[in-house]
Amino acid sequence: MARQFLGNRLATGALIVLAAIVIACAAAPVLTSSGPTDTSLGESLQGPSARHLLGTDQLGRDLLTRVLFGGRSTLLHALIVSLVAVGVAVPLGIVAGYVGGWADRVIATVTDIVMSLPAMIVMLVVMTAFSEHLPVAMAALGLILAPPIVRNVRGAALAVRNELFIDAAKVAGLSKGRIVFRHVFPRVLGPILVQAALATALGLQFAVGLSFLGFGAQPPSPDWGSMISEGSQVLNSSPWPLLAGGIALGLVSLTLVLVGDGLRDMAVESWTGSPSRRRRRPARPPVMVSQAPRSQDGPETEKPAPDEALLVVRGLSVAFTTGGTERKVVSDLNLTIAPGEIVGIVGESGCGKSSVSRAVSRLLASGGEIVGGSIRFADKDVASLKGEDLYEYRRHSVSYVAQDPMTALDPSLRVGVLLRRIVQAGEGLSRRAADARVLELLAQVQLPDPAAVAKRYPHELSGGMAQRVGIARAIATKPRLLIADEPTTALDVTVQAEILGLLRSLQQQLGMAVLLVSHDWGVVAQICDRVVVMYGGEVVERGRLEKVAREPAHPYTAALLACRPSSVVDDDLPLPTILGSVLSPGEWPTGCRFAARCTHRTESCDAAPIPVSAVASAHDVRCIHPLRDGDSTEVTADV
Amino acid sequence: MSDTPVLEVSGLTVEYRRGRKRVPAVSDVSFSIREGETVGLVGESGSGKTTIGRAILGLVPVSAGSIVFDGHDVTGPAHHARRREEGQIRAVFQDPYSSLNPSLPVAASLAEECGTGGRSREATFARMVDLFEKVGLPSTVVSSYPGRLSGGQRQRVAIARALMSDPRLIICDEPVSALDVSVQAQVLNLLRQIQRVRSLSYCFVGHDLDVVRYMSDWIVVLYRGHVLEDGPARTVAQSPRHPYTRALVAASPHPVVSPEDIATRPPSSLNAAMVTTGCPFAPRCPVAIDVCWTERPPVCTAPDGGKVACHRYDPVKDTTPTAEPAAGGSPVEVPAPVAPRTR
Ligand SMILES: Nc1ncnc2c1ncn2[C@@H]1O[C@H](COP(=O)(O)OP(=O)(O)OP(=O)(O)O)[C@@H](O)[C@H]1O
Ligand code: SF4
Ligand code: SF4
Ligand SMILES: [Mg+2]
Repeated sequence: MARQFLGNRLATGALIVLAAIVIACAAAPVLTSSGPTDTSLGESLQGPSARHLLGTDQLGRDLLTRVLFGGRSTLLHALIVSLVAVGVAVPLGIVAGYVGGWADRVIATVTDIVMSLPAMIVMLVVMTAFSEHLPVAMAALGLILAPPIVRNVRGAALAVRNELFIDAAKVAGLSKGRIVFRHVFPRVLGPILVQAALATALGLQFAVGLSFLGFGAQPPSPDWGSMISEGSQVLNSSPWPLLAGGIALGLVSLTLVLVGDGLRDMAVESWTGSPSRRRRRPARPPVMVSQAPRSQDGPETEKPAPDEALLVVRGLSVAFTTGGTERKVVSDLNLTIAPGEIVGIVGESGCGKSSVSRAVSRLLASGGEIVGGSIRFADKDVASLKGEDLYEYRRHSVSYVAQDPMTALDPSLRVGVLLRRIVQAGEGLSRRAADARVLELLAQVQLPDPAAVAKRYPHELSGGMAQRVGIARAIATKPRLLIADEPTTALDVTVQAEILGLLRSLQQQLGMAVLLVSHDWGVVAQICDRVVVMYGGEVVERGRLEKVAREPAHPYTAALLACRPSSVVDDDLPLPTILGSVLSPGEWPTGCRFAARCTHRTESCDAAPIPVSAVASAHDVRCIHPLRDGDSTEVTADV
Repeated sequence: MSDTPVLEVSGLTVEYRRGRKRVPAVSDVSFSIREGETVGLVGESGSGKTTIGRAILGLVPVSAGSIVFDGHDVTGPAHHARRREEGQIRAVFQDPYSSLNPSLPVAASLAEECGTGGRSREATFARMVDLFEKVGLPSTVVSSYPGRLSGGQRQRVAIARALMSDPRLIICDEPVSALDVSVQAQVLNLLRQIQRVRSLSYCFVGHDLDVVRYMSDWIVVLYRGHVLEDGPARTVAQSPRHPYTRALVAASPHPVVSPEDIATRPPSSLNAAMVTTGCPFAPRCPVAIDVCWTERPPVCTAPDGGKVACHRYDPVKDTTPTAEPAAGGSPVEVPAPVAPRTR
């Protein structure tokens, strides 16, 4: 956390300036040669000089000295406000958020009441009553400022309450107090610090404002408010008395706000949202470019011949640039899809499947770039499309269905409206005709009662229904290629089977091609005609589904198929596993990228890049010791 | 494996409050887990399987029924004081990204599990390092923060944490759903190996019938909070008796399928209206008859001790009828890739 804050130069600078001012005020008696009330009428209202760095006031008192001494009382008052506000608000907020129930309701009612009071008027009353005891009045102000902080902390604590590590601590038998202290408090600390900075800034303004109105340090002792008030009376003769107090106030307010902003950014960063329900595929850490020379992804022996294909990808390389370094995540990849064909890409997390699908749909995340090769879609050169042409390509040629159906739908639009906009933009239909088309689309994705679904908002749909709407949206533009990236990962097996069946039947009705990306062999096997297995950013095997699934030739494919519990013959044996874990892009060796995990590795595997070769007609593999019929990977139980 | 049940759940009912209404999430669920045994809970999202696990852990209030662990009633909060003792119930959760506090080093999270045995700091640390070795983690992980670990590593840490206090029962709530298949296999192997060494009992919650079958001795099939079928894992997963279980089996993604399989899948989950009387599965059931809509199906006991809640269960043939074949398709033939299991 601290490192993140220091990374923000502005906030760090502000913190240093603030600390310097506070220390200077605290050390005022040591730093100054004269007292704040030492008058010297002969030097009345002078400008800055070597003797008086900020000049003097009407009574010839040194302004710098008065600013420093005045800061002692002004800053102390601001600090009291902030400490009381935060000190009261944090326990209340944590109790309201973490304990909840009736405690939450009581605290909410009290904070509502306090927030509805007119703060300035209450303050004037309090100041009148406690004019002799300024700190008490400031503490009262702190109480008035507490409610918004209570709400803020409550929100943060509420979010932590649902984290699983809290459940784990409860199950371990930790007491409520210890859970709050160890787990809840550190997680809400960020928001608390932000609020403390803001409360101090507010307290400062109140302290100065009230003192300006006469409720402050009694003359002759200084504080910033009274200095500004005195300065404004002599403004015609010299601006310095006003400037001295004003600059001090402005500087401290500004630094407080900057520090608060820095803290907020830091708090936001450490609060990356909670992960999706079932699977979360973390982004790979940045790494360096692989130095391996290009290996040739062999000439595709598969049907169809490239000239009748819908999509032809040749030698595709995709790289991401982060912090100035470029790292390749897909290298030299070939892929061909015929019209009306369903092709699957399988592989583990981080092997580059999604980068391929996003490159083809020209939806690479920022920093991602096609750095080599060509993508030809029905005679269009996709990689170089720009402007209107790119828009046209995305609108009519390809559509994209994402993993999380909810995030793909605009939550503020009813399903019907959302689809109507897409239909109207694409086909220039009248509103009536568009509405009819929307109902037709919803019926096409087999939603019962399309009219009722059209009236709902996305959050009123179940996961399966939302994904159907996502598909309806994708086919609304009559694409020739539908790209579905993990379309069922967040869904139940039964719903998953239905969605896959739906994709298959739509493909048959509409004659579009489908590119299905999944980490799960089972999913790909449900509907694909051909599969491409990826590992380490390259194709390691491809061929017709039955061929690859029944007679895998690459050790990686075989291992991936074997480690599913559905494939085991004897439940008493350990599951076959793949040793180690997926390499990050920068760790790719010169030779076979799977070598470190392969049970069939020999010396020649590491010597040079492995070429793609054909093991049968339309069945390619990137391995120099491909498995033959009857071979299988050895069972490795690495536990 | 001894015959004493470690855990006995009977008539468990859990209701959530939604505004003024009380919505049942789990209704009248019973099962027991013996020492060294794994009971699997399987069902779709919203079937209440997570809720059952949380009720056993004392994380949600129980509306009716009882949960007896090791001879003690653990249904109410009175039991919570015993949680710090050794040999209690622990959990491994679904989401390894939220189950470890990101602001604490791994060692601090594990040290919370030191129990009341009054173990010294050194002894706790030694135990941690020992467990890390057992779950296949380098001991340097002890001092790292969860943010630096991969999903598989975190799940191993979570397993080590669950083992710190030598529990007798671990609730595993979808412990591998968030992991890649190859990592999934490693974690499942690890769980099984630990179980064998310590004669631990598991309650294994999952939505993937293949995974649950692989891990369990006995499977309970849940639908909208009701038990529709239970029985030995092999029977439930290979020759399911209940139409719903059959639907789950048919939907299971096998790497080798023919497209015809898809044509014979049961009707859509979208027709799943709430049923207050009758069989909860009736709206989706391909073999429903009139009585299914009006009367709650009786619970029949099968010859092997399994139970089926279905009007159309035939105790003589020990099965329920399958759907008539759709035009052009063949009836669902459940593939049987699994050899008989001996234990
Ligand atoms: N905290 C809660 N408040 C209200 N309702 C809840 C809460 N938790 C769960 N439910 C409801 O209880 C029912 C059962 O939920 P539960 O989480 O036990 O299902 P599950 O089988 O574990 O599903 P999943 O596969 O999604 O994890 C659902 O209808 C759900 O909406
Ligand atoms: S080339 Fe060698 S190391 Fe690579 S997959 Fe084939 S046998 Fe294994
Ligand atoms: S009771 Fe009726 S509706 Fe329910 S599963 Fe059996 S046949 Fe189907
Ligand atoms: Mg669950």
